[in-house]
Amino acid sequence: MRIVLDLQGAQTASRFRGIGRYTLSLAKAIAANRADHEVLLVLNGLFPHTIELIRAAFDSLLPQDNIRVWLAPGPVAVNTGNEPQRQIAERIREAFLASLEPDVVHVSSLFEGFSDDAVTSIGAFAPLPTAVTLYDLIPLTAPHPHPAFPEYYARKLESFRRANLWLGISQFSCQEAISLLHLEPDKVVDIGGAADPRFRRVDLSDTERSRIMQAYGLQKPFICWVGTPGDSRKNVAGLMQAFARLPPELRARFQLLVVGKMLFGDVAAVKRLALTCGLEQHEVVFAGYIDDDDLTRLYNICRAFVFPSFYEGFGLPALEAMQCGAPVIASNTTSIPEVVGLEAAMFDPYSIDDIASKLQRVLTDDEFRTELVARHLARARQFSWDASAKRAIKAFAGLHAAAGARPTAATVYQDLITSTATVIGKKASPRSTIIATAMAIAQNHPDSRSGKTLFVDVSELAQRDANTGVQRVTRSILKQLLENPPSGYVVEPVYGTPERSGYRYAKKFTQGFLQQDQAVPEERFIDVRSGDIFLGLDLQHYVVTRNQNYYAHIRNLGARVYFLIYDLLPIQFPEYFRVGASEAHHKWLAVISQSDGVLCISLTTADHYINWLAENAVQRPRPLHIGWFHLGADLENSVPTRGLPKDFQSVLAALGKGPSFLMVGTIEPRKGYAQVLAAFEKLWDNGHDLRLVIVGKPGWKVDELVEKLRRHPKLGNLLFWLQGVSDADLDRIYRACSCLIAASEGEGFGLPLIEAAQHKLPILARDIPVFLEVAGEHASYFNGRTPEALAEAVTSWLELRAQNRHPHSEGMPWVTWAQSADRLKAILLEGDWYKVWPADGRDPRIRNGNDRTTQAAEPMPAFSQR
Amino acid sequence: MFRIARRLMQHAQLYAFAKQAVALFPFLDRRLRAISRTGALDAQARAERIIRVTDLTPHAHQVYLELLRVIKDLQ
Repeated sequence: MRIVLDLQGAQTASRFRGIGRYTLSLAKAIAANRADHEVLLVLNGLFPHTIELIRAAFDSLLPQDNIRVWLAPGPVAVNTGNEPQRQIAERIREAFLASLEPDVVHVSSLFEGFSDDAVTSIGAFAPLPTAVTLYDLIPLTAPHPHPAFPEYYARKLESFRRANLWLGISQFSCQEAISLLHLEPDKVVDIGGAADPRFRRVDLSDTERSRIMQAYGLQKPFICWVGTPGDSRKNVAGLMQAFARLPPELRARFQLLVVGKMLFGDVAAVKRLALTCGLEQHEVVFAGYIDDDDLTRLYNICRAFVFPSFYEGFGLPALEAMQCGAPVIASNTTSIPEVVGLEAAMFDPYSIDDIASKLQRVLTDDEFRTELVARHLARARQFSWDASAKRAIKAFAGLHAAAGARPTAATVYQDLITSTATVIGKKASPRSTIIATAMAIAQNHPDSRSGKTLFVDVSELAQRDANTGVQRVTRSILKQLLENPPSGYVVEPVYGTPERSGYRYAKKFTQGFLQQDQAVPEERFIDVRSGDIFLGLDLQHYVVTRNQNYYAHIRNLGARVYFLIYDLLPIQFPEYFRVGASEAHHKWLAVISQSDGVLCISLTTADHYINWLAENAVQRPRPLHIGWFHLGADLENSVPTRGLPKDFQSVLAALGKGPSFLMVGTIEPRKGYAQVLAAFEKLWDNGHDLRLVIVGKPGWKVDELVEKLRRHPKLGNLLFWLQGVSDADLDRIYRACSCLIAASEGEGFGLPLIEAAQHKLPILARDIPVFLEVAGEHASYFNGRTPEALAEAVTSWLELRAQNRHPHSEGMPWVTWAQSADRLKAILLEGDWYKVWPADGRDPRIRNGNDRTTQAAEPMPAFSQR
Repeated sequence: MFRIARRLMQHAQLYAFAKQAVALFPFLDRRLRAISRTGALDAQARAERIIRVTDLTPHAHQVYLELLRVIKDLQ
């Protein structure tokens, strides 16, 4: 049986309330108890910031491919109009569900979408066997004051009645629906509910107890209340009045803690209410929304938990508190007695005297409190999500058996086009709606291209080509991936720009790269679908930071996003880089650290990156995978550049006249050129007949050194500086020299060491970790930053060489670009990762439970970044 | 920042539309930011500028053409 769970109840503002908790807990239990059944979760893409956290919640329960996201043109909230979009969105969602060919669809929370973008219709597009969770029918008896609400609720009830199965959360909710809506009793099943196991008894030390009290401004033992303070049904006013009626000496010993998400206007109103009830300001503490860990602690240390609600479909906060061993007293109405199950713990919520009397007893009678705790803990054990899930699955099976064969999705796409076109035509919708609808349908119903796509970012290479080592790696890896794509994948080079988010197909670049001669098609934005991979191979800081939301978007859709890290040098050596380089690198790392994984070009770089993660306390909803691989070093496969500098032949001739030391790389402070030149000046002064060859173009912060090189008296005699050397000619220089000096203070990899080894050229390297990793015992090492230290190292090396006792480099292991790319593919597709940075379940974009998707007054994410 | 937020609040309907457009298709955000500074445009004109046909992916463009064809047929 294929069970499709619509989890919008865990996406809307309901996620801060009982419905959200219930939705998530039941779905997790269904996933855990699915046995041979297939479970798919379906999420609404109009709540983008909720998706990663839900994916994280199911990370160990379901394959991520079983979490599907659909898109629709928004907004669709009823209270601000949006009728055409809502109708289109209902059809789009139902068509998406139909395309999954479900045996049963379960809608976790149908009565959503009045003031948010939930879409929860039943039967607007095609009939599907549908079950709905039945929480309560409060709006039926106590209508919402908004003028648009009655029509909205009536329409929702029509959908509700079209369901084939109703899963009640309590006996009370089932009976109420049967009597008020005249549902067939045998199609209404009480599956109950439970509290999350994280709500449990914990032993808190005195320090921890003080910390939590202090964190919430509590100065005395306290009475705890949890709910939505602005919701009169929750009756926080009743508790405040009852508290005010306690004897003054008793009242003075306690504070009242009000926990729950409050909207902007609610805070002042609830504070006024407290004053009206006769309470002084210091007697009531408003904690707002708090996370489950702190809530568990507060349940554990409260003197009493009071649940005075007039009406509940279940009463989850009471059960959570009971499970934590709190002495709970609660209303004797609706479903609450089913949960609490103890007459002595009940009061009449409409009688302030009754509440006050029970409150006084629980605060003063130790024996009563002890008995409550014991009875509550025993009672709480009778509720379990596993039991509820098993009852739900059994009910689904019954529905499936009655519904018969699974509906097919053969005509869904065409039917959807016709259906949405009809709505658009009738409402004379603007072109932007048609475009947005097309975008959504295209995303929900991918084209029939076979296989998945590996998108390879070549932004720098395709548009500018800074021609650094990074672009050399990009060219070489891309060549391998295009020639030998991963099994089941098509490789597509893509590029982004700093001007706008999103990536386009790099058609023109690819044709040039592959030396094809065809008409270049229009470079449109890329079609990304679930299962695709985006690989950030090239390096353009501004393109990556610009696309932070885009990566989150395609990850929401089920694509995986990975990046290469070449080094952390601008952070490790900020003094060697341009002003702002370190900050730009930090920002870049922060963005890529929210991807699925990073691949470092050496073990050393991977370890440096892990240190950076720890230093910056990076938070993740899901774990971050970290891998490393070595770059290739075979020149014939590195897409070499060609060209010949002036005087090249005379340089080669000069190198053959005596020992020649080679340095390769851009001239920049980190590379140690100044130290090497100073060391050789000393050696020359001491009469050593040595040649120093520098191959590299001037970089940054080296004006003085470059000027010195240009005017150096030994230039062209014992000192040679070559710029713009092609890879092929570098090959000839390697052959002509006696030793490579690798004096850099920090590198991501160390390709010149391998290139030297390929030419059997001995190596004298600084003893930094990455050189030790790459060259091991196949190189000589030096340390120290003074010219004298290096001059001594060169002299020692020359003495060893004269005796042929110097380390030989030819045995140094290295890989080809084909092997390098194979390793990269193995990490990406076979999960051969080095380490995993753990998840802490937090999304750094969301603070204090508030994201930016549910509060219209807040700026949109794109604005908030600037 | 505050001025932009206030202006957006004054056009709540467009804002909601734009917000969702950006949520769905994040590459639109920069253009939207520019549009938010042009107070003279009416909501519809702004919406038309937010999403363009050139923003469509190849598959979405096919769907778009198909929608247009069916809409025309139904008329």
